[in-house]
Amino acid sequence: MRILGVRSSRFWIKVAALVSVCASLESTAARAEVHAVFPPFRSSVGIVVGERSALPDTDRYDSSPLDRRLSISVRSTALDTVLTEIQRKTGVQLVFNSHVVPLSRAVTMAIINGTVRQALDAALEGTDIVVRVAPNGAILLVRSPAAARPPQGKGTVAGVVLDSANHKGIPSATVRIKDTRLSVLTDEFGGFTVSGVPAGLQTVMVRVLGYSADQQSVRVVDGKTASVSFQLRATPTVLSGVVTMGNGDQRRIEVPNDITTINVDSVMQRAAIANVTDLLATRVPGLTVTPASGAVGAPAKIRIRGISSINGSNDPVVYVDGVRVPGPTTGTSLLATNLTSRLNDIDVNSIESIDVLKGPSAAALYGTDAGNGVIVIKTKRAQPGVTHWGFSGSYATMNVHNTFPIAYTAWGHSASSNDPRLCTPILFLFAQCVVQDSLVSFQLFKNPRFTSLGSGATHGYSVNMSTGQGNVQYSLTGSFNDAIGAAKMPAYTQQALAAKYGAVPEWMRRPNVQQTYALNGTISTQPTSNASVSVSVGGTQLNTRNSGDGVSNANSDPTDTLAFAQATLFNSRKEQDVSHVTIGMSPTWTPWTWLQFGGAFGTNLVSSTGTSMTDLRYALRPPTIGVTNSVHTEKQSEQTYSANTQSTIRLPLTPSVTSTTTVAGDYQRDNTGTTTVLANGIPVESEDPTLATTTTGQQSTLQSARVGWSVSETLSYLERLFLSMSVRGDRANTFGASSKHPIFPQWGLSWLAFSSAPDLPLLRTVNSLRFRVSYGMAANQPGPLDALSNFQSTIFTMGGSDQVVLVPSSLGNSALLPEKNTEIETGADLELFNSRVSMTATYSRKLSKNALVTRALAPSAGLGNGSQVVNVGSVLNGSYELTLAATVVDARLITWRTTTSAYATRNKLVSLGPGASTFSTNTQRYVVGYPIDGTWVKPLLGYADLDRDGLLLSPGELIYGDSVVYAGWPLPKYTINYNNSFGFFKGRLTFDCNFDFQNGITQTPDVHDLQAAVDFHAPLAEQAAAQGNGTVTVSSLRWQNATLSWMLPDRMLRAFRAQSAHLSFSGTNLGLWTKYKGADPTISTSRAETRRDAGVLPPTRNWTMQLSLGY
Amino acid sequence: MMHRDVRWSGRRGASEAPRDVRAAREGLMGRRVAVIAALFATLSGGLLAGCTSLLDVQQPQGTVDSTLINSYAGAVGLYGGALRQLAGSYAGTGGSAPTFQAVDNLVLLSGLLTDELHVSTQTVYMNQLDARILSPSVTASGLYAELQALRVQTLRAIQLLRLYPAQSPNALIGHMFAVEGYAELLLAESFCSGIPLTTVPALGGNVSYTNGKATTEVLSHAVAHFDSALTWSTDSARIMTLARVGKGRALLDLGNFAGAATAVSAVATADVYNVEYGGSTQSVRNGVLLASAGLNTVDGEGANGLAWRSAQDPRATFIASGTNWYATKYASETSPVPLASGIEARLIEAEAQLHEQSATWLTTLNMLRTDGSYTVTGTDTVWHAGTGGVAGLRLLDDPGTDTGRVSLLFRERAFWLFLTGHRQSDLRRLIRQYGRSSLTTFPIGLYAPSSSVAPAYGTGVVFPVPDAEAQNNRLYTGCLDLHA
Repeated sequence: MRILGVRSSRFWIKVAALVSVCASLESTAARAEVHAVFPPFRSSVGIVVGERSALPDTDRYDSSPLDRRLSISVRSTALDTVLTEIQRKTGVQLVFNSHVVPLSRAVTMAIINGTVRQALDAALEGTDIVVRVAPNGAILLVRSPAAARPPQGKGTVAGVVLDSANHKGIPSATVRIKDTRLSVLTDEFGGFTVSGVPAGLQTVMVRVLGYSADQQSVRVVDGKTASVSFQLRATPTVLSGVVTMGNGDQRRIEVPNDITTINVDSVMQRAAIANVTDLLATRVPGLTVTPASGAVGAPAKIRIRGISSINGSNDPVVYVDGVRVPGPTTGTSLLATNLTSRLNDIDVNSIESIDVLKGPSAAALYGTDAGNGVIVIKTKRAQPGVTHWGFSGSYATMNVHNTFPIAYTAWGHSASSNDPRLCTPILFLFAQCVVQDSLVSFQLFKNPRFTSLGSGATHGYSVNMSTGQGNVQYSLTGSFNDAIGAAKMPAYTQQALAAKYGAVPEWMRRPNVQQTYALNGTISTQPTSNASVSVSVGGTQLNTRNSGDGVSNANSDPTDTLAFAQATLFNSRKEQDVSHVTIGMSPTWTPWTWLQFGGAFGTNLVSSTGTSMTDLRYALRPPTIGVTNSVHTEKQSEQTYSANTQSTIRLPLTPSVTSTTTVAGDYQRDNTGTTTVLANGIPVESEDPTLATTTTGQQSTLQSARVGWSVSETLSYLERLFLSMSVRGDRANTFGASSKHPIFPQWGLSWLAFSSAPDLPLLRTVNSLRFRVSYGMAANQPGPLDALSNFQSTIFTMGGSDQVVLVPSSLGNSALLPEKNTEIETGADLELFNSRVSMTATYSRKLSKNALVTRALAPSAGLGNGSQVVNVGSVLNGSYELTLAATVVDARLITWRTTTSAYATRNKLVSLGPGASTFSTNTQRYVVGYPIDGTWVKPLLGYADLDRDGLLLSPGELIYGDSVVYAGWPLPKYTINYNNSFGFFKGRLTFDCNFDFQNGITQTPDVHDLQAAVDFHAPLAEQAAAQGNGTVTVSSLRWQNATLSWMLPDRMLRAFRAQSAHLSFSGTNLGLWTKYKGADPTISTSRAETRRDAGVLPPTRNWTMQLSLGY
Repeated sequence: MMHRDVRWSGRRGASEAPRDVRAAREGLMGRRVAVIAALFATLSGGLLAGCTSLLDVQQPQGTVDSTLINSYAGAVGLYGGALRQLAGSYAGTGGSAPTFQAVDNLVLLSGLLTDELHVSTQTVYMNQLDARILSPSVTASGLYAELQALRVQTLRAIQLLRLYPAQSPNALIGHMFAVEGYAELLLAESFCSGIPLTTVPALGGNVSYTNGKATTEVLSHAVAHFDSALTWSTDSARIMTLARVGKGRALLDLGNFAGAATAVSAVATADVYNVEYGGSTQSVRNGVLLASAGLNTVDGEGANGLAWRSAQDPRATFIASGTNWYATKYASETSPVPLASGIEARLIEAEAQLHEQSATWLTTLNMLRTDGSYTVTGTDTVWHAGTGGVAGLRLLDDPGTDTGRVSLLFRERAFWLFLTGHRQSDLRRLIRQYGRSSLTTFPIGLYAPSSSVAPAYGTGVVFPVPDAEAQNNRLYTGCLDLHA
């Protein structure tokens, strides 16, 4: 019971008395609702009338308090506030029972110079509260006599739950009727309907993870529908939000896996991002990026939770808006290998978010091909409302700051002459020199005349627009990027060529350039209130030249040979033009709140032309007789068609248990056509392939298809315990294979042990604690031709005439199965101290069975040096991931948030099938009990200067082991990423910096100790080390990036006539601390998993300035 | 609020909404749900109903897979491919015009190992092979793979031809049996004892590896295949000649001289089975004496070699090029190479007669020398034994001793069968069957004293089975015997 306006210290005495009276009254009169009547304000305790029959009707009394006049206008204001306002404006005293009057009810009304009666009638409209005037003049708000009767029958409560910030509906919020067993979930638009609600005043409670809980009272009338609306305030948590799984969008809390989500917009504001690989690098625990080089456009290997497949692909698969697109290193070109990555064709300016499903336990519903994880990309969608324009322009410089080893040249003289001459170990062996007199050192990249390292630059521009009119929203993003890599022709070579030819063409002076044009658009519409469709179209045109960088001459000294070698390097041209288009359509239809149909249909088209040329038109020396120009061209066309449909039923099975069932179908078809033309013998004066003396060509086509189905079920108990189960079946075309129908099961449990949400246990400092465990299986499909027993047709002369005959070219394996990756993942998510501290810990154990191994055939099988892909053995990957985030300072002027993520991984070849413990290829060795793709070398056991010449050059002076031993693994054993974000002046100025530590990378550097390799006076130990195998296992700490971002003040905005503006300065690759003596320990030119950085441009240090404007 | 209103008013009105939920909940097993279930099952699972056709794909361009090969045409294609393989491994080249490259063919490599051919250029691999320094990692690995491929392809062709008995002429099957027999015969004659006879299904699939078979076992296997060829090829004199001579040659290797003579008795002296070369530029070319191979012939190589050039025998003629002498037996890339002939049949008979101490052995040899002829067609020398005299060949005299007789017989074999891949087997038989030593048969002594790779002749008489076999065939443990 409540009395408005009471401030007296004696108030509580009165309340106590009144409560006791009320209590006694409530126990009588058939528990009729009791309405207290108080004396007027500032009076002593007056009469208390419990029986409504005793209350005088307003019509029978002087109604002067009700006739007082006032003006009041409110919108969506709580009734409680409205009553207070009426009392304040008119001085009337309102007396009511707060349990009877729905004070939380939202009221919208406007009374202009009206009476209190009119105001109260308007405020109480729709309720069963009537107005009475007590004899003392107090205005009583009491339940109407009709309503006072015990409520009969049942009604319905319907409404909507919205996000208070953006007024979007909140799906999957739990709506409960207090003190009943009635409970429903909101639909995707936030709507809900609860039927069978007992008539009378009911309390509707809403809760959903990531928002503050709320409740409202509502009067339910028999056979009627009462409406109620909630607007919840977001309280971000690591468990809130939605992630995209194989069966559609799911709430993160339901998903029993650690799914890393990158919100691209926020990342782009705080870091210089050039491509999707940059987005993924260092932001996903368990994901390792190995760049091929520091060249512009160079691709990178992406490995998630280790390396699973011995000979199959280890690439994750990629989906954009539900459409399958090529992965990080696919779409290769035979001749222009490693020039670009199809993943980086996707314009980062068009991306809204990226979800990374790290293993089969999360990706099981993607089935075949998803064994190495799934990268799910969502493009930006427009929102209803006014038109927004955005513009960003950036300029970046690129330089190489790595330390290269110093080259040494030894000089000496022979036994018969004191004339100085080169005196290297080889010359010594041939007695061309006997005494070494001096060493000359030379650092190629420190010499401005000879260095091939220059300064690169990038210009980037992006414009985006989004708008929504009526039921149609659309957005458009256009980007252009023009980059010149850091590699350049050395000045000396350039001058020499210019002296000879007058001018040096640009393709030789700057061997690495890239232009990118991208246009992406989406249009979304809601043709009816329960259906929507979204269409996205994205296109990228990429022109890349990456002919080389001259780094392979790092060990050279300044002689004519070097200049010639430098020039020769730049006589090679490698170019690639790529057109990449992705079209997708995503319709949804929700005929009933509990049933939804959805799907994604689309196609991805890639057309690429790669050219590799030997172009000697500008040679420093006359080409050797017989040497000619050549042009090798490869045109490739790839089409991927994908379609998937999903049907989801979501029903409350009981008030506590909700069921979500999804049935899905999935189809994918790939067509690839390749034409290769090799034109040789082109005169050195020309690059025209039509002048070639020999031209050979080859054409091939390849198709593959896959169809899959899946059924998944998620049971939710009180929104705190989620059990998910699913099964997927696939059929795929693999030529020559008998029908296979692999099944991929998955199950998982997510248990919200503690949460600040209502009805859940609450620890003092723990905001939420979730435990999760999941199991799942996915696959790695063999190559489409791996199962095919293939023959090659050729010509043979029989009986004097040419006949087409057949010879076997591959044996195939009709029993070939997909490589099955089984993963169990478990972990916990913890939030503390009002979500200022969060921690996510995950352990994953992934076992790959039926490992795809390309096993060499013995010659007696009749295929020469042929091989056969077989399923043998298994590979185990174990990984630990830990992410710790904390808001260290959250003050008005400064905020400081730090995030540390750590990742550790172990890999082991568990078996190679019965009776086998090792097998080798030309380059790799696989041994049971050791990691796959490890490096194996013959160890240098010792040395002895047998001939006592002070040198370890003669046979037998270096003692190597008889057999190779394991030296290390290509991926880091441990990775720690440390990120700091500072905000100043309410976030108007931010500073971010990121450090990345990698431990245990095994690299094979191109160079060792160059001095000891030529210095006859070097200690024997150093000489021995310089001639060792060179493989090293090192660690590195890299200052990955730093970004200073400034939100321009309003007065500066006016200069741009913009609504928002950010100016940022970013630096990437700002420092590297490592004992590695090669160019860079983290890059690898090898297409295999092993690392090798032989003669390649290391990652550049980039400085970027970017201005972003919003309109 | 507007959003909420749109949701509710647009759907069907707030008052109707509860009925949906009620119906859904209460009718989970009811008709509406059944209808809905059928609907989404149709939409979502419909793909699966026609998944068979959805998975249909076009045959990859440039491939001929087992589904296409499984036909009579495919069987004939494999048959032709086997003959191509025979041509390549026996005396052929690889690559295509105009850049033919010599490959590891049998005539070339066995000629190098013996005194027939000598390396005139400096290449480590060829020098070592010529010097009988043999390594299981590199020596003749290509030849081994080629002969094994020939063996397996004939096997697969036979399997496939037999699937179409109504269409397959018997001679085709017989031909393949004879070629398979030759594949095994040539492996047994050239390589160490211990040769796996792996089998592969005709249309591909799992490989059935075997352990290394002894030379005698492999030869017996070959004899069985020749017998099969004789059974299947009665309507083809040419293939009968191939099978009969092959069987005789295998039996000779096995020491069954009488059986060998019997096997070849029906072969006319003029019969010949040539391996064809040439035709279009894409076909297999004769690769025995390509100039790029740098192989010449010297007199008395390694002390024991025959005086090929100074003998001035019309069966082995040479042309000078600088200090080197190159054989002119195969003058062009299209010259055929005899694999089996009536001349060889008579030589087998002569050896059997000598072995039986019959005086007719010399008569048989002299009959070849006097009753044969050769003509020159273009640049090729074509023998027509039994059609007249041979200019420059005089009658042979009996040496008077067993040793001399054997030496004479093998000298006759050497010249008649010059550069046809017989010499290595003959030298091995001299050791194995006639008690001679490798020191008196194969080249010995200093090879190239200044060379670090082959200063002196080694001891190899057979090619080792390459390491790749043991590395990838778990049943194979290596050569059983590296002796002759």
